[in-house]
Amino acid sequence: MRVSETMLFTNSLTDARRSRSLVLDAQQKLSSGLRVTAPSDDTSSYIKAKRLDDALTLSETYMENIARAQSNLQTSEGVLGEANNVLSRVKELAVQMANGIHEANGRMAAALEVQELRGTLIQIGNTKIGEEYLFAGNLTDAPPFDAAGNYLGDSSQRMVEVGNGIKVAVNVPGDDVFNSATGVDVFGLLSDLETELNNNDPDAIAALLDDIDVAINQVISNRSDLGNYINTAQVAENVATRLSEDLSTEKSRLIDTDVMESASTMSLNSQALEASLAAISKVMNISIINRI
Amino acid sequence: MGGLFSILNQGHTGLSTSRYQINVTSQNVTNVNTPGYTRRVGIQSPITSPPPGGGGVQVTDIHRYVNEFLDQRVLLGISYKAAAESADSPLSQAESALAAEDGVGLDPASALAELFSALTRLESSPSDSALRQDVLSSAGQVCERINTAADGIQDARDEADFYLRDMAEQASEHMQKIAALNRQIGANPYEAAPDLRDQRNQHLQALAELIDIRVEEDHLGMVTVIGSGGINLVQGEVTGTLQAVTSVTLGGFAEINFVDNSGISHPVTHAIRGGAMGSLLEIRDHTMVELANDLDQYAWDLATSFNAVHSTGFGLDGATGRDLFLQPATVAGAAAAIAIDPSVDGNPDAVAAATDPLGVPGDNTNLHLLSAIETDLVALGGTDTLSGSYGKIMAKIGVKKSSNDSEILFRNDSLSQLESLREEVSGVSIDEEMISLVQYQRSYEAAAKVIQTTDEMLAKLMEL
Repeated sequence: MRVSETMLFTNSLTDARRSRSLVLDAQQKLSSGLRVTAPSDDTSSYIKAKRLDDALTLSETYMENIARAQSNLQTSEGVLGEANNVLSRVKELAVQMANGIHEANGRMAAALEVQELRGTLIQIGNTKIGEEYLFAGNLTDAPPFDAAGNYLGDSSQRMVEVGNGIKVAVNVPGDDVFNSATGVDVFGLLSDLETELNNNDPDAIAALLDDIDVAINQVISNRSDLGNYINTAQVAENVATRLSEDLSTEKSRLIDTDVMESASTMSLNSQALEASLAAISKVMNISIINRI
Repeated sequence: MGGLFSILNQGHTGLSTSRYQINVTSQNVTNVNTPGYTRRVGIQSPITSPPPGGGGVQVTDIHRYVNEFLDQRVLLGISYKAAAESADSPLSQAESALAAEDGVGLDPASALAELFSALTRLESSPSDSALRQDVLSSAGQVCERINTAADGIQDARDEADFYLRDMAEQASEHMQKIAALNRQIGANPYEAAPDLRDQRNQHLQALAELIDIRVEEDHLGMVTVIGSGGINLVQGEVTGTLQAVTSVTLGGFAEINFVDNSGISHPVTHAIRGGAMGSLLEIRDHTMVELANDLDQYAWDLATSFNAVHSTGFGLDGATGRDLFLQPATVAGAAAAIAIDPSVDGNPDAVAAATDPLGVPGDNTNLHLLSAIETDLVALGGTDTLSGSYGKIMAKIGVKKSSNDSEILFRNDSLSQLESLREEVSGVSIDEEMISLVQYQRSYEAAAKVIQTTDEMLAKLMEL
């Protein structure tokens, strides 16, 4: 083969340039920590990573939703525990006052206490977090119970997404708890009890005892519903946490730099570069001009 | 047999021939780094005509070491390389407009994911005005990102068009120069021809960068340059110009015409396939158009699917029938036009979270329907999800860009290989030239010796 000067220079230059660009490429991957930063680097990995990214964003949102749901559900559950205590006290009073040994003024004192307890229950029914009334169904912007114990909310149960296709209820409607169509109207019941206490009528009081039990069960059943929802939210939280971790790992596998591989590519090409530079300086020193 | 004087004369031809050859050698040595230089050698032959005056040596021609087949392949290699390299900038621009680097920028796909998140978050507390505002801001981001991506594609087209106009002028200049050099070479085939041919070759290479050409040489040494699509760009001394003319049918972009020497204009826009111009035309009129159409379809599908659900829902104010996005008039141009609908813009209460006007403010069922769009097949005529259809756009530009990246490497490699091959034939080797130098120096000395000897012989003769 005939070798011209230009060939000698350009060939050495081309080889050195190629090694240099491979070294630079490996160095960039190492310093940025990313193997893929644009679709053209690795189209299918980039697009998969993008999907995982979308899923991660949603997963974080699910976690926020779960936290809010937990807070709503736990508050609801807590105040219904209070309501349960209140109704237990009402039952205690009713059982006592149904007994004939009490005087009329004893019953009047009990009537006052029942009135007080009814007020507490209405307050419980009007519990709010932030600007939202918990037991109002969807009509969260106004107190669901008026002073007379009338229910002004609706019967909606609000569902919130806490996972891909997983929804959890975040409320129990107030009418289900205190004003059930299938159970009893708790506030009406307490009004009746108050009236009968004032009327000093032990038999009529005794006749209300069954309904008081129904009211207590009504609250207990709603509390246990809330407990179930809390469990569902807890499970969803575990799923979302696990999912976030898996997604992050998978994304990293797709687009992060394989440090070992890049480091070895870099040292390999650095050596090649050094060798080719050494060869260039050797070759450049050989010249006929030094001989003649 | 000639006399002593004819020997003197022969010695003289030896001196001048050696001097000429040293001249050629030094021309080669000094041009060792000149791009496009072709090494030469003087062809010498004995003078055979009988003496007196005959005998001796003369230079009959200067030979350029070229391999025309290789030269043609180099021209083609130059076209391919220029085509791949000129596509890089507009493709990179479109790629970064359509797909952001992970964790750095926001592209339409990530903006849409944020919107779905904001909608899902609002489900917890549909009356929360901060969360409602988030929905509007994310929707605004989606529009902005799509607008920016559409701008990016348009910019890439504008850039391609700008370079095309410039390249048409450059090509015309080279064509003129080639025709002028053809004329000089045709008129003067011997003396200055090697330099003129080298010059012409450089113009041919510069022209090949812009447009793929085939070159044919006639018996006078003049070349015919045939551009892609069979246009005779240069024929001997005759040439024309390539003109970029703003065209209404191309939406303000330039169409390319070849105006021949009699002033007749031939449209060649669709004939040019190779070189930087061919590649930029392809980018401007096909690749980017396809991407822009895909993006328009995406913007249209997005606006249409969200509006269909949003307009049936109710806002905090109990009103209904409002679109979330301003519905673009047509699919064409949808990406540039998409915006938040004026009826909800700046009005967070208008976000239609409820399906039941009586359920306001707590009803969030319409939000469920809106979030469900994420997995619904609402794009590309009901065959794909929104993120799926956007993924296809990213894949399209990604594959285009990465295959062009490999094309650049491959074309560079193959061109340097071709140039190496050409250098093997045409390049200057200092080793060879140094040896020639010594060789002609010796023959010069020898010829001088011949003259000296003849002189001594003549002196001897005079003494008689």
